[in-house]
Amino acid sequence: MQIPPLGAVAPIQSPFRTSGASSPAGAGPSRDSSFSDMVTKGLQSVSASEKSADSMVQGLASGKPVQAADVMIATSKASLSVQMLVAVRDQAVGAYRDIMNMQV
Amino acid sequence: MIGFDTFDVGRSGLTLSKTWLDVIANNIANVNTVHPAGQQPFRASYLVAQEVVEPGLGPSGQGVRPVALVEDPSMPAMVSSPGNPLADANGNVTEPVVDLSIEMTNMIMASRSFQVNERTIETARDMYQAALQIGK
Repeated sequence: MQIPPLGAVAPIQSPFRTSGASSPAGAGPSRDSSFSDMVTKGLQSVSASEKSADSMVQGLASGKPVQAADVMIATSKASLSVQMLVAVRDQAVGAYRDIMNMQV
Repeated sequence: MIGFDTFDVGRSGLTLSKTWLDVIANNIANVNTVHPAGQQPFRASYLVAQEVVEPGLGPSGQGVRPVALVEDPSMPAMVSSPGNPLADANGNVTEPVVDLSIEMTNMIMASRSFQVNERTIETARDMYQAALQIGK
């Protein structure tokens, strides 16, 4: 039995696939990858996952052929997305408070 | 939001396990389905699974999917059952091609397969929540 060699592992991608990924590295933060854009995209994806979970729960309740496991996975995704959003918000607000409470 | 690939892979495994159990249930439900002698018997179906690999989406696959149902090609047993309304002139009927012991072992495997796929999703969720605790 021959074991095929493991291929080259792809490099870890940025957790946020921003459209500004094509900008040359070292050119400084581009407008596309600003924090507010990141938050906006995060909010949009949280909203999308919530909507998807909502429609699946509706489908299950109205007797459509939706599997219970799929609904639970969709709601878990939505819940985790919201938790992620809240965590990012907490960090951002914490940083803001740190600046505002600075003694001058 | 990125990071839910495991959920979708696990979900495909859950769906496959559920479909597998559906097929097994149909086989077991027809374990007493006889046909007149000379006719095609009921044959047990087996689910064929195939991995889902979409190139360009990273080194790991995208899960599994059911692709086909294969019927058991074994010869059916002819059983004398004179009282059966489906029996032929000699009193024979064709038994279904279903092996209950195979179906029961397959059912255990389908059930365990559902459990482990559920466990990968649970682990992925725990990892995600652990990552959210970083920096708190």
